[in-house]
Amino acid sequence: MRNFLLPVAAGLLLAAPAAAETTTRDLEVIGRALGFVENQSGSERVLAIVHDASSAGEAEALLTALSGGLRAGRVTLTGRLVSSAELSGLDGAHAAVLIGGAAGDPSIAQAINAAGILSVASDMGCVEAQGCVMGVQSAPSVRIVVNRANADAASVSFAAAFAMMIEEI
Amino acid sequence: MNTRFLMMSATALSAAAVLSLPAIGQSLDYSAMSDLFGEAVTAGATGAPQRSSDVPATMIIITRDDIARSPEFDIPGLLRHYAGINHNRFGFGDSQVSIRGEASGYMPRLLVLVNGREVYLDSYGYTAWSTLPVQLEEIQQIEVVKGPQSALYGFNAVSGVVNIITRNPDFGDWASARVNVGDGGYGDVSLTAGRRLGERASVRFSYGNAGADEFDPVESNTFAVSLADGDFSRETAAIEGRFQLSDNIRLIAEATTSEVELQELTSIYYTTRSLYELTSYKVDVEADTDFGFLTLSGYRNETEIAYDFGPSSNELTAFRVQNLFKLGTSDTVRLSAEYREGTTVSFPDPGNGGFGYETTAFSAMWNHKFSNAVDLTLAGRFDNVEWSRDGDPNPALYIFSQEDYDVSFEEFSYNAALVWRPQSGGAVRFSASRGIQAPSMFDIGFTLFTTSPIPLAITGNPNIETSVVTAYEVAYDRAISPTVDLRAAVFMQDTSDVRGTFGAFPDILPPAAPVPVLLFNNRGDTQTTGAEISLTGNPDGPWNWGVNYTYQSVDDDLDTFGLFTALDFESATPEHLANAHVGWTGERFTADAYLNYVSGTTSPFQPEFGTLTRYDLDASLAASFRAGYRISDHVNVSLNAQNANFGSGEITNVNYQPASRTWLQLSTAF
Repeated sequence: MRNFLLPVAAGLLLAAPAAAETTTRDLEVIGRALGFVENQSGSERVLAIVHDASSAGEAEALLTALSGGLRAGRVTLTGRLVSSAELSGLDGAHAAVLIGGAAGDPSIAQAINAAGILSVASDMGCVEAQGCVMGVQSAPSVRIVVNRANADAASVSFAAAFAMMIEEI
Repeated sequence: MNTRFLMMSATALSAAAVLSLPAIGQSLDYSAMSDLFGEAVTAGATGAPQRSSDVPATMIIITRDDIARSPEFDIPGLLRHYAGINHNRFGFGDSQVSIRGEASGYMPRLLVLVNGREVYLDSYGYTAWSTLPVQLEEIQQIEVVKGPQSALYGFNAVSGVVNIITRNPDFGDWASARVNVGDGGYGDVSLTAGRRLGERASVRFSYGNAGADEFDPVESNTFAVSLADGDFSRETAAIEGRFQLSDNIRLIAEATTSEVELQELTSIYYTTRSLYELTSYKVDVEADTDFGFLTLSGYRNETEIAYDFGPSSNELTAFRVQNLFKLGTSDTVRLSAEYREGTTVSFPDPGNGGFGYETTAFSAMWNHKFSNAVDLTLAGRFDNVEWSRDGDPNPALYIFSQEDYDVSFEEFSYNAALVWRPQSGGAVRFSASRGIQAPSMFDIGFTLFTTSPIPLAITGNPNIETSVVTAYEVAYDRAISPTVDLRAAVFMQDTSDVRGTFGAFPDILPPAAPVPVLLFNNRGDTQTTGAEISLTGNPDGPWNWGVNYTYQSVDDDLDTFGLFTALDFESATPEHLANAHVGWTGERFTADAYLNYVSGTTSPFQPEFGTLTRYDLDASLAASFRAGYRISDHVNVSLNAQNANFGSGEITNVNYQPASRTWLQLSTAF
């Protein structure tokens, strides 16, 4: 039996997908959710795309999706690439989406939170354990998770109605 | 509200009384929320904002798009296409709606609200739908909550609740003008607008004016035949202002007026012609505080109604305070307190002293998420009601003295629901509830002496008991494919001490009374069991469709029909309801077709006062159509045919015969 299970387990591990890539639809959900962040005026929101070397291609694709401004509900999102090794590029951003290895490095999310910027990832592991304020999934149905402690650390708060309609941990 | 402050002290909790209706619903940005979550949102089930897939009740949410595509000219017509909805059009402007039970004349069991304000007339105890001061073009969504909802909404929400929410001008300017011109003398003009006024104020306005020839009466309804010259007319207006007093405090003020004249069917299945003149005033103050979303509400409904059997003048004043907040990350709590006072002049006999009631109520709701898969909602409400009369009815005619009307009662209602989302998909809801149907003001204080057909006193009854509705339901919702949704439910509702009017035989005879008495009284018990299922499809491409079916079985244990009551739910409730819809959307053209099937019933029938009998109604199938064309981005035209196969009249009730009505609609919207 052991001889049978080990290859199966190994196969499953190899087949297990890496954290799903962030999609344009995820960006739309992030943009709409940003419309419910308190104490932010205007409709323009700058989204920093924080990536490591392994996710540079994904970051470029997201930046392309945001080029010219992505209208999402109350806000218009524009993008900016920020290397996880050069977080000084976050200045002026309203939120930061962490992709690739950046979403799995708690020090990055903590640094973003310390700057008072909302950190978000489509990798739910980030909001659950790696320091992100928000986790977003757009498929198969919309799921938004907010980590209360991380939100406090980032001095981020949400409209009352929004807070009651999402998952908080 | 800053979520960091949601962990509140016990002191703050005790200070925060909560209101009994979903006031936060007036400030939700429904469009933005729906776009975000990809589904409808509502505050109608618990008072807290929720995604429709999370609500612990079986709900229908009718959106602006749904309304725009329907070949209907009023709200009851819109509702009839959905599962569990019973609908009867007793006259052109008199439709009645019930959920999972007979839609009788002057249906008392459904509570209807517009932006949280009751439009249910608690003098007689029904909703006169045509008097609602709302134009279809200004509706954001219509929420139908099925089953008893007294713990949230109070008395009379026993078969369910219809909550009509208008567009919020805080979230975008709009203006619309619409004209309907059709056969049967039908004409209908509507104007609506919403506009922001600077950064801190906005206004909503609507006006409507409609008229139509009445349908032909059922020939054997001799009294209706005698009234057949009366036509329908309706004029309504509403204005609302929203003012941002500070970053966290908002004031909403609304005034409305309605004047409607129409033919109706009363609760004793007797025809009347009525003129309604209604006004209302409402103020809400909402504060997004560190202690929760706090709402203070007050409204006043002033009602003047001229029935055939006498004029009625009533006032309802209500005040509420509510707080809604989260505790930690998994618990949402709503607390509320309410005071309301209802008064009416002596009716219809003007000389017996006005009467009315005062109600004090407290309610609470708690929602706890055990996990993403399971959450529990518990809600309870306590009501204390005290009645009084300020005059002594004539002892030569009536059996009750002024002191007899000093009565009070206390009632508790609850809603409990467990929602389970299995890994296999969908959501299963288990719910139980206890709803209260209070005696109306007429049930208690009505006084009328008549000499036809014999000298009789018809009197309300201060000793009448509240009706208690206990309901249980299991429901299952799921997407069975990416484009097809399934919703199903089985339900049971048990009503004890059904409050009802009299039959043809006096309840009390001399010498126990000065003259024979027909008494408003409790008339027994009734139980409804049933099931409903609906499927909706929105495949890629131009087509969409929906089908639904409802089965209802009623078992009555009532007083003898005819002699002592006009009620007969068992015979008058259709066993089968089925609806179908298919729609097609092109670049400029749209087309929609609807079918409504109602199985045959036997209805109570009172063609002349005192002649209570039954009338067999055949099953009916109605076909309605709408074809629309977008002339430009702002101008639309459509041809609508309601009940197109009914010709000059189809007998679907014992009052008037709904006829095919066709109208051309020209509308512009910005």
